[in-house]
Amino acid sequence: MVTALDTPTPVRRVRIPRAGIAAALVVLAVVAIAALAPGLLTGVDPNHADLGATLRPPDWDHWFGTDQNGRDLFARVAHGAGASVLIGLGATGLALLGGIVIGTLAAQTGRWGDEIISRLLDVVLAVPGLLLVFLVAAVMGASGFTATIGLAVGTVPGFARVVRAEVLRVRASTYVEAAHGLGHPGPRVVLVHVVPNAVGPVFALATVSLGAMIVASSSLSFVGLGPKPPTAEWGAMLAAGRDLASVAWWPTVFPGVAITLTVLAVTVLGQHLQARFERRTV
Amino acid sequence: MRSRSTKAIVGTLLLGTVASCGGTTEAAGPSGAPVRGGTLRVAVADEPECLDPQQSPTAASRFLARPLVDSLVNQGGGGRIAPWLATEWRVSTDRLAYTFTLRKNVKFADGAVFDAAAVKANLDRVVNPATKSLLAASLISAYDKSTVVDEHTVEIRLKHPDSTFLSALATPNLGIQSPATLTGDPAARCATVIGTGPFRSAEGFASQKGISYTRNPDYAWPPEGAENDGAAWLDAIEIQIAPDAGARYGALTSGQVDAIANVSPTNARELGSTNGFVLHSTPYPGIPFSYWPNTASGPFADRKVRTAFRLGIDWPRITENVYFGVYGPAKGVLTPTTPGYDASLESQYRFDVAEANRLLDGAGYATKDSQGYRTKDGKRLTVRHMWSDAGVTDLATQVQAGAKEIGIETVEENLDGGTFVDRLLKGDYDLIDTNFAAPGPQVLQVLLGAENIPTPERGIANNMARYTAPAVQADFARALEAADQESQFKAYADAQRKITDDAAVFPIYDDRTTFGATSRVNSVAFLADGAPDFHQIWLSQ
Repeated sequence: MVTALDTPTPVRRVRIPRAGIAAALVVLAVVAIAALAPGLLTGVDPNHADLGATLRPPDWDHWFGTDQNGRDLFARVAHGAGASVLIGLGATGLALLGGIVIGTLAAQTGRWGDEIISRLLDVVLAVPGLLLVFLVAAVMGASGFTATIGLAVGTVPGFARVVRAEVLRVRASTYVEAAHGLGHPGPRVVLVHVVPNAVGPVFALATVSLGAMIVASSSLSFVGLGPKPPTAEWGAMLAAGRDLASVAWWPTVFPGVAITLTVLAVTVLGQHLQARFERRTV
Repeated sequence: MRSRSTKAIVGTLLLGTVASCGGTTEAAGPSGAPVRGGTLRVAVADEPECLDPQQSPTAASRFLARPLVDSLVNQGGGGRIAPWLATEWRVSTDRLAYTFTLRKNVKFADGAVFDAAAVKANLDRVVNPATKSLLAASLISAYDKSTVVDEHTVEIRLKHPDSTFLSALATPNLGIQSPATLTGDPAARCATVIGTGPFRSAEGFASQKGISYTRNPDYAWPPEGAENDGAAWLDAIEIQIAPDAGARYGALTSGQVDAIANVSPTNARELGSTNGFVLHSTPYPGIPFSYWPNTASGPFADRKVRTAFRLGIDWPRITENVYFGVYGPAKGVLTPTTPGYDASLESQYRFDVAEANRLLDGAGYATKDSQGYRTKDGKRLTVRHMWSDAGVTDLATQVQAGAKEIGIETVEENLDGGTFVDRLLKGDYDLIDTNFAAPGPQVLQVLLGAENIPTPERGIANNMARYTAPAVQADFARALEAADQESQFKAYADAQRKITDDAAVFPIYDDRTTFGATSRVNSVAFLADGAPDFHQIWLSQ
């Protein structure tokens, strides 16, 4: 879990069977519904505590059982998708934006600018990702927002490096030379011709890193640096159920399975997209 | 668990007075003749910011310093005061002068001789403002001065009579330390404590690491009536700090340690039914873990609303849900093991939703808003529960759910230590929670005496209910003037009845101290402040 923020570098290309991709899509569709409109999956209030029904094992009334406060775990897992996935998505989105801007700047600002930006990125890269989030949380207070910011900051350098290399590659291509030759102004050439052609690989990279981000955001909630209780969040649910594991398995197993399935699905899909992208460009 | 930092100190100050030795374990280990030898490895939850209990107010410093220091007197079961380093004492008729005759041939771990001058040096140091004592000094706030009468006689004078003075002397906070260690910068005295106790620690306490003790081979002066009248059975004790309850439990069950303190309720339940392990546990005398309403302002200034809150929430069910039967539900203002407890009031602590709703209707909160909360003049019946722990406990979550059933909204306010104290002093809250361990019914006055309301001028004090009912204050005065224990308990019984009628506190559960150990650990008994008595523990070989 701790290495989750390291830039993913899949060493082996595994050809994923169509059924696997279909399954991943189904899982992601369910997670997306849960994240955006959990009300479609359950009509139960995830924060309603039924004091007469604490730690009930799964049954027809409570598909995933109830937690130690008598709250329906199916409703909490469904509503927890929002916090868990949105932090991952938000952090990936922010990191993409930051990576593209900084990577392009590094490639475009000449030798000195490139040196300064690249060395600064090295410094950030040298700090373990989760440590960086702890730092942000310590300064700004623990919340879903700071977790998003912290995760994004830790991921920007990896993305920026890829963008920088791509910008340098694309800039040397003949159509960019042609655009310059036609007398288009420099910034316009960069924005219209260079960047759009350089960001492809980083998008593929981002889908793979999204899985790692979701795991990381759950890790943060697990140690209490995520959304505040009683907000349902998968990592926080794992933490709350941990002490009860010897008495009741369901409070930890269901959020754990939700995290695992989501990350698996995102990673499968990310690798598939990356493989397709590489076949197209190479 | 309580967060460390400011809150830990505040919390401990609020937890205030606790007594010293005594108490029994309810789950005794295997019997047999004690065996000398062995090292007891223990994992505990909390570490003190300073080991010296004359400076630190924390329970952790009392726990870790108790094996090192003895006290002048010992407080045993039932609150009885027994001789320890003082073999006898005389109290003057005006109750202002205490003359102690000290035990002879007692030596500190550094070789110094224990005498009247050492007692004087300790008490003078505790009250010296430079010591910055956060608890010990307030325990003996009546202290005026000490006079060395002869080598083994010391006279202590008080500024005013104080019936709790001997109890205070029995705490580790007033434990007697070697005079050579009492001079100089107090902050430099936070790692090592040198006393006359059954154990010594040369290296002392190191944060994150813990503390190691070795037996004091010369020890021959335990409190009167102690089970072990000589040197400790254990060769050594190694205490490590493990804040996480799960980690402590894992360390015990995997054999990394022989015993753990503060067993979580789930672990306690499991341990009790696991072969090879014993859960030692004892109830605290004093005041149960309770929610305290602000009786001076806000919705709880109305007695009907307070009574409805107490009757309308199923406190025993919440206790069972959260603590799995490890802690029993509270049935009164005091815990049943407290001397002077009035059991006749138990029937008033019942669950009666219909009566609660009737009272709330009568208090003017007869209408409900769209979310089901009661309102009066369009304003929702909301109470703010203030605390400074991180997160929301399961208990608070369930109280919130229980209150919602009778239409009361409970808002959880997690505050940082500074804001917490600020609002405590201003009375800017509706609910606050604490328990309070104490050897006798006098604790009622500590928590509900009008002179103990926290204010900016007075500082932190324990009447967080801000309760001033004159009839109850009169009972407290009558108890202090009482000539014998019977009439004293009668006055406190009157107070308990009035406090119950007034719903000035919402008692939730009777706290217990827990110590989980392997069955090799024998003869576990507790001191009154919850620490195990390491002097009498022995290990099967």
